[in-house]
Amino acid sequence: MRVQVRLLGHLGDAAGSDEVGLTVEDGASLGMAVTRLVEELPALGDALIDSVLGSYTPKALILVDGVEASNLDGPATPLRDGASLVLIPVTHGG
Amino acid sequence: MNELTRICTRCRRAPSVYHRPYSGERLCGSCFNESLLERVKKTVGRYEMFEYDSRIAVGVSGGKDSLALLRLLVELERDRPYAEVVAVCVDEGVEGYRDEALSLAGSSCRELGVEMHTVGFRELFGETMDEIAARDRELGTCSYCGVLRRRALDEVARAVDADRLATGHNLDDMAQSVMLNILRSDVVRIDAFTPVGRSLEGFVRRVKPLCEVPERETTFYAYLNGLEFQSLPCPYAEEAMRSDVRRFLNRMEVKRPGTLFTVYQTGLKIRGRGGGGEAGRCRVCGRPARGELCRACELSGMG
Repeated sequence: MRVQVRLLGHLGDAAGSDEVGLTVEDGASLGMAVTRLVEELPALGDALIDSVLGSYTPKALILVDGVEASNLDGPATPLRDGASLVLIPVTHGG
Repeated sequence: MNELTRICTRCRRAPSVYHRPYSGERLCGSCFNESLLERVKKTVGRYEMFEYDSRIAVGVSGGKDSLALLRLLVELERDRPYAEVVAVCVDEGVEGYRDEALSLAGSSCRELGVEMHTVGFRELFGETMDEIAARDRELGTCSYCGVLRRRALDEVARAVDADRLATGHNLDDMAQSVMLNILRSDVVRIDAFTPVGRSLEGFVRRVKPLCEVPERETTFYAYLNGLEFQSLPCPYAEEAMRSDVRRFLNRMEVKRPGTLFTVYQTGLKIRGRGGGGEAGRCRVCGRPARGELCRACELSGMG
């Protein structure tokens, strides 16, 4: 199935694109989609994934169809075909 | 609606979009905005940050925190006909970073109908942050930038006759400061830790109305309200010890939600126990100083 990913701020810069389409297995979870995303765009790794926790949580907010992922089931959130993901960096400063 | 979507725990009607792990709340967009405004209002009231007729200079950098603060304070002060909110900005001279941020700050100010005043490092100190970073120096770039930026904000706030200077320091910043001060055994700063500065003659009183709002929430607020903000990290930021502390606290917050509040509250509990001593006055600018010169005059070579 396909999901659409929007990358805001410096995540888009790191990926080289603000928006990417991603093919994942049917029934894939958010965590699986993020893993696939970083496999396809390795430059995103440092900007998105915390090296100790192995998770996106400290570095980004992820919205799944407009809902922040920890308000669903976090990385275990199942995705639907055509789901929209928005990745927002939680960047220090401002 | 996703089958996992829960109802807002506040209004009990709308589907929630945001979860606060440290409190268990699940909030719809409207309740999220309201709760953030309420929290800032309570913080402002608890610390008596403003007078009824304060002219509030908001330090705006173009990042999410300061733009969120500007918007929240404009909303909060709407009911106070004698209060005023103005934006004050500092151009440190970091090419490709601050110029974009100031442009975003300008757009936000125009949208909110807020006047904006900018001052630059070059006009105040004779050199830009890029030039300071390029020269031989004893301290990290953040040590220079932090001190000179505080001075610049005070200068521009005074120039626009503000009696308060509100900055966008959030809960994460406050908790990091507590940890940093402990790691450096900086008893002066541990003693003086506070979200609201003292009233000193000739010095604009500094306040931090977002001190109890986590950075994730200022980020979500900015997204939810369509704020266009700069999200590029400062090119010099990684030099700072603060980055190590930030990473540590962020990881702890993920593992043990509420850590940031606990560290911040600890800072408030251990402050004011002595050890800081009384500050004197800088012989050049007259601002508070521990020695003969304040840090800004020392670092900018004004002494």
